[in-house]
Amino acid sequence: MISMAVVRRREWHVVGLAVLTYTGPLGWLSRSLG
Amino acid sequence: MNDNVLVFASIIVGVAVADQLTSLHRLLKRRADVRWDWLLLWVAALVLLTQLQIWWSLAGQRQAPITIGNFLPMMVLLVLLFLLAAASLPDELGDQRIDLRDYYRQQSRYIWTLYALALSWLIGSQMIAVAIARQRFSPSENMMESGSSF
Repeated sequence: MISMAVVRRREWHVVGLAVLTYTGPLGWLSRSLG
Repeated sequence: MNDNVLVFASIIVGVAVADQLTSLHRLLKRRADVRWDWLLLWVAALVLLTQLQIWWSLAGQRQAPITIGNFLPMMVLLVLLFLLAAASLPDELGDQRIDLRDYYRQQSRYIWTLYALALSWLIGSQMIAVAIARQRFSPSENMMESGSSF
């Protein structure tokens, strides 16, 4: 069974990844393509 | 940045991308034994796109002159990006079942430490480069240094 700490840690990683993707490559791609 | 420097930088980026794609190929070949994890694949895609972004910005500065002093900080960044790319997907799969969620759990601290180092290095070296350029090309400061005034 997966502990709550592992689930919470994973949620934080998803939030961090979303922020990095949006501010990094995704923003760059949208500026370059648009 | 002249073409020779761009070629050298491209080799490092190319090796990093090749490492990632080779790892992906090995996983796809063993797909029946793999327990996939979208989070790790997202990290790998972010790393791949970050390398593309860095290479694109290097290629865009082709006309700017570059010294070894300018290039060494970039070299450190490229090495960090290579390590990040190599760590983003497993290299050795072995004979057992491959769990990408377990792999991410084991490697996430290393991956995010490398990412944080690369990002801090990029921001830090850019800030230093801008500060040096301002110091060098600021007319008011140059005049103050030479003691001339209006």
